[in-house]
Amino acid sequence: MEEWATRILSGVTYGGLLFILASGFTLGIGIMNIVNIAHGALYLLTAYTAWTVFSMTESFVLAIVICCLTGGLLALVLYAGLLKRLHQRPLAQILVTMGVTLIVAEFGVIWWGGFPRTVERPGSLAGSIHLGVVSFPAYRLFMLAAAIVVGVLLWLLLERTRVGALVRASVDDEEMARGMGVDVGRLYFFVFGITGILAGLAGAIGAPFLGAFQGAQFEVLLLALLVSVVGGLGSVTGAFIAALLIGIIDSVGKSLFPELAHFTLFAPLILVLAFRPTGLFGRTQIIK
Amino acid sequence: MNGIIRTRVSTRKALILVALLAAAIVIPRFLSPFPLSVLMLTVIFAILAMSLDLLMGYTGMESLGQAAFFGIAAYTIGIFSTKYGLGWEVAVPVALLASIVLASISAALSVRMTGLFFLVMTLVISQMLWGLSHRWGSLTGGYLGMHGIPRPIEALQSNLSFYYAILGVLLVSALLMYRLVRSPFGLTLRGIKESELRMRTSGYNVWLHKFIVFVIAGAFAGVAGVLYAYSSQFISPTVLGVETSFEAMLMVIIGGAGTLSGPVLGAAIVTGLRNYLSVHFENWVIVLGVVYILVVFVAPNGILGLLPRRLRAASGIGQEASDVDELKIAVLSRQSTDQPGNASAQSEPSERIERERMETLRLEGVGKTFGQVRAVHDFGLTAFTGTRRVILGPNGAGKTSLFNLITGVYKPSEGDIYLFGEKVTDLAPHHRTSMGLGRTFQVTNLFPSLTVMNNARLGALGVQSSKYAMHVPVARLDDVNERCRDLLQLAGLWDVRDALVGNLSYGHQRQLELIVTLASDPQVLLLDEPAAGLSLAESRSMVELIGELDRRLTVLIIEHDMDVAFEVADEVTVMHQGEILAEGSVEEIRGNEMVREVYFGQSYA
Repeated sequence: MEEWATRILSGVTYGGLLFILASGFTLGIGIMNIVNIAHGALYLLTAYTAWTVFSMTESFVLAIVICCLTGGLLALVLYAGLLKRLHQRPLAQILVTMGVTLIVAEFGVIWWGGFPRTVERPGSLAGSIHLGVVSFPAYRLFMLAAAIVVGVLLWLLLERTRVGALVRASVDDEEMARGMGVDVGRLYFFVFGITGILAGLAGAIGAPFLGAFQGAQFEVLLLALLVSVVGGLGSVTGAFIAALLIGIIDSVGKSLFPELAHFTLFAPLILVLAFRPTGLFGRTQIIK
Repeated sequence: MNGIIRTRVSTRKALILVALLAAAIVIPRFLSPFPLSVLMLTVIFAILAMSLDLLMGYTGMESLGQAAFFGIAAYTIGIFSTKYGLGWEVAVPVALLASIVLASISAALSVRMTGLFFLVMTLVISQMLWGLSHRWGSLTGGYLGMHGIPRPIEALQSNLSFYYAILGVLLVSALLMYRLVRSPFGLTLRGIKESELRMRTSGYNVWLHKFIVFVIAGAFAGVAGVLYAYSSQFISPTVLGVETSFEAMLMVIIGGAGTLSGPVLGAAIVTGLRNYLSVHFENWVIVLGVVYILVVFVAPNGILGLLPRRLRAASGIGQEASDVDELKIAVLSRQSTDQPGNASAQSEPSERIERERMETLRLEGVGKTFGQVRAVHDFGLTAFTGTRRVILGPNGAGKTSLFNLITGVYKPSEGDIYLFGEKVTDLAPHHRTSMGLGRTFQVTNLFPSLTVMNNARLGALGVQSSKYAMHVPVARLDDVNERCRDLLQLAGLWDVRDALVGNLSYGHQRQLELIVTLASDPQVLLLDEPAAGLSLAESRSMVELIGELDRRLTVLIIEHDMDVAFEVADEVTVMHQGEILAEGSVEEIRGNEMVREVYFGQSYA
């Protein structure tokens, strides 16, 4: 009983991290049709940043703030400098963000060196918390809490604010939105900034768990892809549910079938691809 | 004159090719080990890039997962030869089989998707294998990869002899792919790139064509992967993941997509850049990153696209691969015996069939709703051989939706459709086309980057099994070429047969629209506003063209131009808000009060 509770809790909390890693990526696809390959590179850079800030100031809160700012700022520069001119050209955007990925990751090598940097878990979150029968690492619970906060905030932003309404209108019919006087360009600028902030947040929160290492740019891209495709490309709700599901299946699957440990992470993806290629919450019109 | 220039270009091309080949054979003898190893990688990546170009450049499928099929073959070789000590006789066939199986599965999952979703789906397949190779360390060696893969045969131990072996594989692969792209099947791929909808309504199972080419491309990528494993004798997860997939794509784009020489050039540039930079510059990856960005902004059509126009024309780059010379010989030699203009569409008159009036098309209570909108409702119609019926109705009456229902582009929400007495309600568009249904489009829907002749060929091939042929050039399909020649002569388009359709006048495009449909020899012909947007004179020649059609054909025609409509048709159906308002002969409809009110407006009365 306790064992199962721990397993499921591990899965759910890992799922929380997966959602944080993927939320910015899936938002970019859902709203702007941009597959930002550099999402993983933004994670890597901000995870390095988190390491620097944390080792200098010992303040995890400051690390989160600076990472979010860094991620957001970089995303804005990326959008204004390159992606804006490639509006609705998915392949061009993908190639450019691949180039950015290589440059950013190599910059990480130059600045932080080639070896991994792991951020310690901050003092107050380093221990365990007792939950009824089980005691559980506090940092994992923090990841889940952060994921819920991010999910709720994103939902509120998209569904309950004026900006969100404009965004939804522009996603639905961009030309009409332009015709109605919505400054779609500014709106996209704003949304892409948010995807960057989310990447930065992922870097800060992920650093003590996954670490900052060369290769993370593609590992995080893989995780973000898994979550977005299983959830349905571009659906934030889908991403949240998919992230938790992938986390639970991975955690439970690993303990039930240790010999299949390398597959458990991909099992939900394979199942979804086989039975519902549009993802759990995918728009179905993508298939003709 | 055009022909002379073209011949010169192709001679020059052949000369360049021979010179390059001679260089590729002679120069390596004098190279030191490092340049030779770079050359070997170039050869291998050239095969990979060409395989990707079959998808990207020819079919318009932008795959970000080509490394998956390359990498799985390389890993199979690695695992078989280092873990199990099996020889190449076993390892190579299994490796290729692995690529083909994986490509089939990937194709089944991704081929139905388009655009962004296809990109992501192929990316996720490749990246998933990358993740798996990392995690499954006991089998794959994890992120360290696998070392010491032995070369297969004693004679291939030296790099020079191995180089010659893989150069041979490159040449054979290039030759096979060259034959493929010039074959009827290759032409269908280019058609799919240009207009999937037109292909579907011209009798092609687009899904199947895409599936086949995806698997073929995967197999060639597997060949490259096998060579890579034996060549470098070391593999790491990189060969499976996004980095390699993207580099293959970069090669295709830099060299120029849609040609087979382009990917080879691209492979040489990218492989050279990567290997020479990494020797001299520690952080060379930054340069690679900058190249990705520059390619998109500066050279989206390849590095040769940057050359001055004159040079490009001289080298023959950026032109549709010309199979024209052969065609001329094949077709013109026959012309003396064949009377030009004697099109089969109007020949062999058979009065017997004309009198019998067989039923060809029947609609029973057909309807289609989109959400709350009722586009077509309770539509019934029976047509016979020789029926000429015009469908009239104001904009939004549901006329084009009706055609989309008959052709199978839309599935009806209610009712049934019969073609030649057979129920076709659930049949895909290409099945209906092969039964003898043809349609034209209101908005011209041709293949703009292909020649007039190739447009006609795609029309004709759709209903023939030779559309899958890969072993014979399309220029040698005499029956198809003859039929196309006859039809093009009928429409007066034979003289512009080598022009790209995008460069034709609008009037010519409208005529070709009809010719492409006629090329499939339909028994039931649906014409969607054939005269839309035409000048008076062009409209006249369109009416003449329609007038010359075989009288036995069933023709349904949507037309706004009354003069055109009443000249070609003898029966009328008037549609209003998706339903039949009135039907009858031309005279009856002219006198119908209700029709006047709805369609012609009050002022007409």
